[in-house]
Parts: sequence; C-alpha cells; structure tokens
Amino acid sequence: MKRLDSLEYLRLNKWQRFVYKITLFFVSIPGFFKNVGIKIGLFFKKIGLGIANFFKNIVLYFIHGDWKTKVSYVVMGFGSIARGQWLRGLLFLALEVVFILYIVFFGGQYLAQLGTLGTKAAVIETVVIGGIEVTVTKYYDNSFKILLYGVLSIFFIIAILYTWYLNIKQNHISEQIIKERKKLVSTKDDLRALVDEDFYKTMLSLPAIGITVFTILPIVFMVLVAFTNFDKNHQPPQNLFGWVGLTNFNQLFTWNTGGGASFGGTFGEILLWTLIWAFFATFTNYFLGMMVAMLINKKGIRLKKLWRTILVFSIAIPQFISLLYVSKMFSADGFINGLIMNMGGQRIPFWTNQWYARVTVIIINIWIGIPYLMLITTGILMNIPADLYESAKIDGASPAQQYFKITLPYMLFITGPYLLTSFTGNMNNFNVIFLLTGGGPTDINLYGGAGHTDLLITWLYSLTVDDTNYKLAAVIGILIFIVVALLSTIVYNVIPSTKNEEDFQ
Amino acid sequence: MKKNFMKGSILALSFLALTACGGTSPAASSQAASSGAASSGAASSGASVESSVQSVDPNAINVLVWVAENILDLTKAQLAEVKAELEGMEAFAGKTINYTVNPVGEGEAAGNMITDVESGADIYGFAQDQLARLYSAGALTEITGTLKATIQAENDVSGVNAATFGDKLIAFPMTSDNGYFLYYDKSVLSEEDVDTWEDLIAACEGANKNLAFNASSAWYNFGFFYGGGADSVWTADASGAFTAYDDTYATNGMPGAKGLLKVVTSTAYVDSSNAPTSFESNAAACVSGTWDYKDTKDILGDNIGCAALPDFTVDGETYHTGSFSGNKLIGVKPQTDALKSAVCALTAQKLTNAKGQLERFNLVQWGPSNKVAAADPAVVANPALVALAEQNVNAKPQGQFPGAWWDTAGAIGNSLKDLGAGAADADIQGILDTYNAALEGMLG
Repeated sequence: MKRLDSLEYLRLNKWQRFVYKITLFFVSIPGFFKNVGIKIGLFFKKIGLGIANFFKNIVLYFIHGDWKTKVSYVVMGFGSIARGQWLRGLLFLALEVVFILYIVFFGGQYLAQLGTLGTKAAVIETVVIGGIEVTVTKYYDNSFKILLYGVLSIFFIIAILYTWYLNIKQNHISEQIIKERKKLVSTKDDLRALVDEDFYKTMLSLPAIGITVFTILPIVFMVLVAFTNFDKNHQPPQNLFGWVGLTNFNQLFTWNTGGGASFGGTFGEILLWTLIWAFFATFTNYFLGMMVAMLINKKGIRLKKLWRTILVFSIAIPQFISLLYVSKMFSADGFINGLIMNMGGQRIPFWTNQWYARVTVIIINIWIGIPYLMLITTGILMNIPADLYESAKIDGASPAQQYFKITLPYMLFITGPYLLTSFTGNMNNFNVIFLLTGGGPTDINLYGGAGHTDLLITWLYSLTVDDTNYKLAAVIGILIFIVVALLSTIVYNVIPSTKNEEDFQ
Repeated sequence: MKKNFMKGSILALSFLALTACGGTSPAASSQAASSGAASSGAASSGASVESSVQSVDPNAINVLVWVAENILDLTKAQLAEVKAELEGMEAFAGKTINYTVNPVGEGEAAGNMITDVESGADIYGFAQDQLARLYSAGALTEITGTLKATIQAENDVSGVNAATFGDKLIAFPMTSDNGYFLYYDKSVLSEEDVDTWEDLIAACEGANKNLAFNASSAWYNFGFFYGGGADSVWTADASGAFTAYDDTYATNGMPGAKGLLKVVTSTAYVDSSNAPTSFESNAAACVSGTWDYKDTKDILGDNIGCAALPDFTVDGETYHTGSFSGNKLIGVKPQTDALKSAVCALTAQKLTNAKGQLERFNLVQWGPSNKVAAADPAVVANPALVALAEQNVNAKPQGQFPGAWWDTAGAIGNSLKDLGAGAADADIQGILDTYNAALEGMLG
C-alpha cells in the first residue's frame, strides 16, 4: 500500500482520511507481528551465542590454563586461594562444599525421583495396643516434596554451574593479569569494593535469593503441576501423583463430552465473560470517575471537600464488609427486593438470573471504583494548564471539544499505564466477584460447578478448594498468564504514554 | 527512542510477570507456598518435630483436636476426663497425654485437612458429605476390630452408614440430626397450609411472604427427586475412588423436577436455607435443619412451627417429599506412631459415646446418633427432632457422593428456574439429560 505524505493526506476529505487510517492500521498488523518475531528471534540468538560461548570458554580456559586453573575445575576456588585471593577462593570452596552436602543429604533423593515423582505409596498396617486394634500408617514417597525439592535442587545446580564457570573464568582473568605483570586484587580490596563500587551486589543478594525461592520457585512448581495428575485421587502423602504430559491441556479442547458440560466450552465462556467484565469494570469506572472528579472540580461547586469525603467513605470501609453487605442487600430476600415487593412489584432475580447478575456486579463495581478514580484524576485534572482551555475558548471550542481535544488526551497520556494495570487487575478481580455472587448463578451446562459470573480466577479457586483439582487449576493459571501477557504487551505498545513521550513535556 | 522502547518493553515484561503471576495464583501459589512452607517445616521436621518433642519428654503424647466453636469448652471438659481415664490404662502407663483443642468449624476443618494433612489435627469433627474427599486425601484412618464392632452396635443405621466407605468404617458418628424439615410461622400459616407445597406456595404468595428453600443445593433439592421416585447411588473402591453409579434422575426424575419447578418459579421463592435470616426478612416458611432451631425460636417465639416437608402433586399423583438424613462425624488422621494411634482412636470413641453425645445435646441440641442417647426423654421431646423424625420416614440415609456431584446436581435448581413456570416436559428432560451426561466424568 502506498503511504501518503502529509500534503497528500491533507488533500483527502474526512471520509477518505478515515478509510486511509483504517487501512493503515490493518496493513501495519503483519509488520507488527513480524517485528515482534524478529525481536524474539534475536533474543534467542543472543542466548544461543551465550551458551556456545560458555562451553567454548570452558574448554579454552582448561587447555590454556596453568595447573592451578586446572585443579580449580575440580576444587572450586583452589586457583584463587593459591594466588592469594583467599576470600574469593574460600567462598567458592564453601559453596561447593554446601552444594555437595545438600545433594548428598537432602536434594539428591528428591532429584533422583523427579522423573517418576515417587514409586512407593504409603502402607497401612494394623497393630494391637491395650487390647484394641488400631492402624499405623507408614509414609514413603511424597510426590509433592519430590517435585518441590527436585525443582529447588535444579535451581541450585544451575546456580552452582554458573558459579563454577565464574570460578574458572576468575582463574583465567587472574592468569592474564599475572601475565601482564600487574597486581591482583587483594582480599582487602574485595571487601572494600563490596561497600563501594560493588555495593549493589551486597544490597541485592538477599532480595535475589528471596525472589527465587518465594516467587520463581512457586511459579515453576505451579507450571509443572499442570503436567501431572495431581488431583483428589492423587494426593500426597498417602497417594502419589505422576507426570501425564499434555493430557490436562487436551481437556481444554474437548468441546463435547457426549452431552454433558465440557471443560473446553466452560473455559471459553468464562474467558469471554472475564474479558467483558474486565473491559466494563475498567472503563465504566474510568470515565465515570473522571466525570465525578470534573463535576466536583468545577468552579462554583460548593462544599467540594464534603463531596469528596462522602465518596471516600466507600473506600474507608473494608471491601470485604461492604461487598458482603451489598450482596445480602440484593439477594432474593434482601432489602431491595423487600422494598420492591412492598410497593407491589415483582421480585428481581439479581443473583439467580445470569444477565441480571452480570449487570449487577458491573454496576456495584462502579460504586466501589468511582472514588478511587476520582481521587486519582482530581490531581491530574488540576495539573492541566489552564491556558490551554483559555486559548481553546478564545478559538471558540465547545465544552465537548475541549474535553475530547484537551482533557481526554492529557488524561489518557498520564493514566495509560494505570488503565492497563487496572484492566489486568480486573481480569483477576477475585474479591468483587467472590464476595458478591461467589461465581453464581450455577448452571448444569457449565463444567465443575462453575457459574455465570465466575472469572477465571474464581473458577480456579473453586477448582482447587472445592474439587482439589490442582492439575486443571494449574492449567487455568498458565492460560490466565498467557492471556494477560499477550493483551498487556499489545496494549502497552499502543497507548500514547509509551508512543508519544514528548507530547506533554 | 529505540533505547526507550527496549527499556519500556523490559519494564513491561517484568511488570507483567509481577501482576499476571501475582494475580494468577492466590489460591494455587499460596496453596503451594503454604503447603510448601508447611512441608519444608515438616519435611525435615515432620518426623523429627515429634522425635524432638519426644526427646524432650519421651512419655508425652500430644494430640491436636479441632471442634466447632460452640462445643469448644464442653470438649475441653470431656477431654480432661478422657485424659485421666486413658492415663490410668495399662497400655499407656507412664505416658502423659496432652490435648490441644482449637475451635475450627466442620467445613473449615475438612478444607484444612484436605489441603494439608500433615499439619492438620489428629482428631476433628466434620460433616459427612466431606467423608469421601477426606478419605481420598488420606485424612481418615480406618477403624477395625473390636472398636469397629462397638461403634456399629451403639449407633443408629444412618450414623454407621454415614461413617462407612465401601465396607470400611472410617469415622465415628457424632450426631444423627443432619437432615432438614420445614420451619414455618404459625401466625401466617396454618397446619393445613403446610400439608402440601401447592397450599404452602399459594398461602405464602397470598400473604406476600417469602418461602425459603435452598434449591441451588443438591443436598436440599434431592428431596424432590427422591420423593418423586428418582435416586442416585454411588459405589467406591477401597482407595476412595468412585467406580460405578446407579442414577435414575434422567429416567424417573420428571415428577421431582416438576415439583421443584413449582417451588422455584413461585414469586414467593427465595433460595436460602438460613432460617433465622429468612424469618427476619419476611419469610413465612423455610426448609432447614435442627441447627437453626434455637435462633429461629428466638425470632418467632411461640409462633415457631416445625413439620415434615409438605407433599407435592404432579400430573394427578401425590408424592411425599424426601430428604437426606445425615450425620456429623469425628475423624482421626492416620498416625505413624502406634501408641498415639490408639490414644486418638480411644479418645474419638469416648467423645462420641452415649454420655458425650447427650452432653452435647444438652448444650447445643445436636441430635444423638447413639441409640441410648437418642432414647433419652429430653431428646425425644425436642420439637425440631420430632419433626425431623417424622420427615426421616421419607428420608434416605446420605451415602457417599463424588464432590462434583454436589455441584452438578445443585445446578439443576437454577437451571429449572431459568425455564420458568409451565416449562415444557422436553425442556425439563433436557436439563435432566445434561445432568445425566455429566455423571460419567465424576467416576475415578
């Protein structure tokens, strides 16, 4: 397609411009994905090169190294100690000793069974004590621990491999320095560096270990569970679970199980509702919140602080309490229906009809969300330079034009990233759905007791807590991640905040 | 610009990793984390905590007990007696038995035990619908030998059935009152009004009052299907996996479904089994159990009425509404130490004998499963238990069902309501067929 330059573009009429823009958008889609593909390719190429380099260096350093270096291949830190850098050497050595002890006394047994996740289940025996017969259980392999500590051991091995590489590289560097007849860095220098130019290492070592153990390890664990049969019939410590490959993912694509509710179909419906919910929950709050903020900010409005305080009350009360209360209020025998009935009306099935329930949760969410948005946007609105509006007024812009040409672009620019976080946050908005409807109303046509207002996250909850179906919950967890990651990457690349950084500076 | 883009995407990626994963897994990862943490504590220490405790005092046997909050103090007092009794036994000579009693409700106890058996209680109370899940999670130990014979002889049939899985007795019956019947407000409804659902619905609608029935719960809506001649029977193997079912909802469920349809499409219908809150908010009748008696009595006073469930008429034929009769049970976790296993079994047995059950009835009106306790004059005179006994003529002792069955059968209630009053037979049959098709997937 031919790109028009600005003069040619300006020559088009309104309608042609619109068509041109639309075509441009669609034409640019393949390019966008091509770029993403290229970037991913480059990324893997870089990693591949890094790995190749790693092995090349290991061999080269060994061939060209002196005997101290060669011993260091087996006894970590030997070269460093022999060359007088005893702190580095001792640290390397200590790490090696800890690693060997860990593998021998703890990690090794789990690592060895990681391939099968255990082979011997618990055994129950009967013994007689004081004249009565009682059972005694002997526990053997625990699949849960094997998986958890197996993964931990793999992490440790990767870390030790990297340290081992550092150790021989260190030897290589020292050799070079000695060859050039320069002075090696002494232990004293090392210690000083840790509080000086290497201070970031001192500061970051603890958080890095913490994130690995408490964030990355559980995530890897959860991902791996999706490839096992960990469910109600395979629960440690009494029973074993094992690897099943992609079986759980296959279930996603079983659309029809002979008339009954299918997992794939239910997943599709819940995903769709999750997206619809996230869209409405984010944008209704955003625009209505902004509107309320603008109303209160308007010149001539009195008691501004009072209005803000009243709105903020709904934040001040814990959501847990207010949502449970509201849920009760809208129930079939709640306050609202009582009022309607007393006035001679028909009861409204707020929570038992799927459409009413869906609309009601969105509306109640507006009530909770507006105050937050009002607070956020009030500050930003006051920040918009007043002269922009003044000059717009002089040029004869209507209030609507002012809003769409000045206020909205400015707001979108500032709050773009916020909108993105709030969208992803709403996709995983457990509280509101769980406390208001608990996922209901349930339907015989949905799998595993899912309801019509269930989000993926609340469904995941009921699968784990009510059905002990960890394997499917893990599958859903992975899928939520993929959906959120995809959406966020795309949206992040189109919001003005990241595109036109200079616009409002 | 390019640099900024790269920086941006790196930031975005790390941010994604944080939000997406942070959000994805409150249940899964906290589960993993908590059991991870618990098992890392228990991993090296699970056995060794006990051994280290034992090395401090090799003669101590520490037992953790979870019971509902309203019987906490009573249980503590009962356990003090049991402690003295057991420590006097020859088998436990020289041992000190230490009970720790924590208030954990039945539902919560079952949930906690299933999530993490190792850090759970040794002895805990739970409702019988959780029996199958607890057993397959390895949270219940089998009762054998003389103890088994004693339990089977002392308790009523429904209690023994509730505690039995396959042919194994795996829990101690604690109550036999987990059934439901009709509470009604005598100032609004007469005794004739509660004879049939048709009259009851008409009277409630006429008085502009609510009729509370928890149709979205399989436990309650089963009453209509069972009364109408349908049933669902599940068989399990020794490991706790369900192997077969005999379910007639699809073939014989039509009368029950039509009866249920009348209730759920009434303008008076409210989906609730919480009698106190229902009566506080304009209900004239509510189907619930004995646990609501005290609070409902406080609200309705002398106007409280208790009756067996009304009959319903479909296509000219009248059916008694059925129900589940169920039980609360006490479970013992599998033990690795023989002495402790014996202490736990004997403790559970003494907590659930005639004396223990009667003391519980006197405090919180839990109907006994023990035959001697159930024959006590005070128990026989309780109006709620009288109504329950009347209803129990048409009740089915609640056996074992897969967890998924409760969800699926419960959903029938809402699906029927969505059809609306006067729904075509074919549409109703469609719901029953969908239900039927889901059963196969619950096996295993």
